[in-house]
This record gives sequence, C-alpha cells and structure tokens, in this order.
Amino acid sequence: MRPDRIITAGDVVVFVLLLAATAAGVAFASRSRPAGEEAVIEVNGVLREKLALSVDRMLKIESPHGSNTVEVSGGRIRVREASCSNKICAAQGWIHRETEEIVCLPNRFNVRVAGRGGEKYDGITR
Amino acid sequence: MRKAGVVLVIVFLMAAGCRESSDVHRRTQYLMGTVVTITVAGLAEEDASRAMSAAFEEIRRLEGVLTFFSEESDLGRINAAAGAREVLVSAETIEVLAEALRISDRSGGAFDATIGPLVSLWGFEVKDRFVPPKEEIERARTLVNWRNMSVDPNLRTVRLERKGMKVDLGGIAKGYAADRAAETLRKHGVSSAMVAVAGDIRAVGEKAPGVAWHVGIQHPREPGAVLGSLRIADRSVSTSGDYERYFIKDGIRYHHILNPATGRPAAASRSATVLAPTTILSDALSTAAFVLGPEKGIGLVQSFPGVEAVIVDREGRVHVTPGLAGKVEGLAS
Repeated sequence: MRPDRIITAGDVVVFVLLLAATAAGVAFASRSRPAGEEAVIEVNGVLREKLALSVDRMLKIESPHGSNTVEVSGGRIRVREASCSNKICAAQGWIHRETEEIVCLPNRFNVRVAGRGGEKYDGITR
Repeated sequence: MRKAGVVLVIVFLMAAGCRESSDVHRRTQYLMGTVVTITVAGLAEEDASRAMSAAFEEIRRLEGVLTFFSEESDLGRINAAAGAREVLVSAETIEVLAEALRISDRSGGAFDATIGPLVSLWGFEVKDRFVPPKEEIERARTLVNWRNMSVDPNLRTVRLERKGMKVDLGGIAKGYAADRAAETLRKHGVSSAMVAVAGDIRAVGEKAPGVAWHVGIQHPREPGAVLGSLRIADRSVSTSGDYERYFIKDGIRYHHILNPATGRPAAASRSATVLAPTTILSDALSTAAFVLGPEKGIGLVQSFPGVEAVIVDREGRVHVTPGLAGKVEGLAS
C-alpha cells in the first residue's frame, strides 16, 4: 500500500457498507411509517394522555364531563365504552392513521392519532 | 472534503428533527356544539395564550347570540316572532343574516338560511332517527324560502313573513365565528394563526415566513384519509360532506345537508370543499355547492372573485375549478 494514497480499498468497503446500512434503514422506516405512532387524548382541550400505539392496553379517562374507556390493540385505538348519551364515539370503531380522530362532544373528549415528528397537516377540513 | 461531508450530514439530521418548532401553540375548546382548535405560531407562549383566550371568548359570545337552541338568543327571538312582527337584533346577527340572504339569492336557494323547519323535521340533532312522512316534508318545505325573510340593516330588524318559518344558521355561523376569532387574534398582535371551527378553517398569515398553512381535505369515503391537500395563507376553507352526520336506512344514506328544493338530503355530491377570502363565504358556499352538485356548483363559486372549489360528485369523480388545477396536492387525476 502506498502511504500517500488518500482513499484505500478498506475505505471503499466501509463506505459501501455504510451506504447499504442507510438504504436498509430508510426502507425499513418508510415501510413502518404510514400508521400513526401515538394517540393524543384531550379532555376539554387539555392534554390528558399520550399513548404509544405499540403497547396494547385499556385505560379509563374520567373527568367531570364523563368517562371514556379507550383500548389500544394491534397499533390501533378505539373508545370501548363511554358514559355519554349517544355513544357516537364508541360506534366509530378503531382508528390508526395519522390525523384520524374520535370526538365525544358530550364528554368534551377527543383522541387523535399522531406521528412523533409533528403532524403532517395543520388542519383537516371536513 | 471529509469534514464538509460530516458537517452536511449533521445539518441535514438537525433540519429533519425540527419539523414542528417550539413557538407553535395549539388549544382546543368545545364551543358552538363542536370542537374549536386555535393554533398560533411565532409568538411567546404567554402572548399566544392571551390572544387565544380572547378569540375563544369571542366565539363563546357569538354562540350566545346566534344559537338555534335558545329562546333568548337573537335567532330564538326571530323564530318565535315568525309571521307576527319584526325583531330588533344585534349588529352581528344583521351581518350574518345579510350575507346569508345574499348567498341564498346568488345560489338560487341551494343555500337557504330559512331551512329551519326542514332541519327540525329531520331531527339530525336528536338520537331518534327516522325518515319523515312525505306530507310532513312537503308542509315544512313550503315554509322554507329566503325571500320571505327581510333584513333591515339600518333599523337592525329582521322579520319572517310566515308563521312556522325558522332561520337556521348551521351552514354559515361557524364560518362567521372563525372570521371573528381571526380578527380578535390580529387585534392581539397575532400575525400567524389558524382557527378551525370544526371543519371551517381560517388561516391568518403564513405559518412561518414562506411557509403556508397545510390543510388536508377529508376523503368522503375513507375515514382518516385525505383526498388531497391545500396550502393556504390569509384564506379560508370549508367542506360540506354527506359523511359527517348520517344514518343508513333500507340501504339509503340520509345525511344532514338538506336540499331546500326537495326537502330531502341533497344527492348530487359526496363532498364540496370551497376556498374563499372569508370563512363566512367558504362555509355558506360549500353548502350551496354541495347541494348544486359539480356542474352548477363550480359555476356558482366561479361567479365569486377569489373563490375556488373541489367537488366530489355522487360517483366519486373529483371536479376542480380551473384556478385550483394542479394546486391540490396528492390529488389522483
């Protein structure tokens, strides 16, 4: 090996390996991305919980306006039970995509799915 | 060279981590029977908070004036005096009703501020949902006609000519509230904000210098998915759709946007999104465009300066005004 050479064969091998690792990482990240990563729960506009959608669990959120029990399972979340009069929130079923939202107007309760890197849209017109 | 490369990679990674800067403040309250979210950018927490509280307070005040559900509100008093006498009301009520009359007229009644008797009959606000008998629909329909409402801005009076008539501002009051909340924010030194009264959205300025607010349009048949998205600054956007409040009976979808001409849910569109200089206009025109359907709806919005629309027809085809062609991001066509 000539001492004045700037790039050696070893450098090239390391470089190619790094490139491959990066490509694999990007491919993995973009494949696992489309679903939201966490659920943000608010009561009367105040943040109550942030739940990772990767951990299955059941949680009862109580407030003076009423109670809503949420269930996280398989990367999705739903309102399983609610004390409200119309049960529209429970009837909506599972949500998992970013910006999806369940609102319980009588209980002033809402849960929305979000990604960790900030939300893609500032608002949704519906 | 190598050093420059390393620095570049670090800068790139830092930029990727800064998508939502820390001076964006977001608050939600339950007002006007729906969810109101205000986002303020570019201000310190304390200043943003003060401005947002004032804006929420303004919406709360307007709710008291414009609600359909109180006999003491301006609207309650106008409806109670139908067929009997004119009623003295606030300047805000005059402003909303004058604009409602203008759009009722321009849309040939596709938007009609006197839709109240039909809304009450169909009862989308109550739990017990049913399809009303034909005769009752016909009876309510004959009471719906904006020409039988007179608004006098000078005397600040409103009169409904026939007994049983009812004004319902469901298709315009939220938009008006968003405009007033945006004005309140500006008066409190805010130059970058977004007010969302349910799906009626008003953008104040840009989110950051050179960065517009990014608004997704709900897909009418895929919950949680967007049809496409718009970048807006100092403009408003509203959507009327058949998917928000509806029930299905005997395989027919009955939703909450009624066609004043038939007395039944409008059948020409799945959704209509309107972009306009004010939210009062985008709100009312989205209802009118939804009822009219793609052809007439696009014609109507084009007769207003600075107004654009995206209409999904009953088969799911997307129609866009020429001014918006190529500007709806992510739209498959």
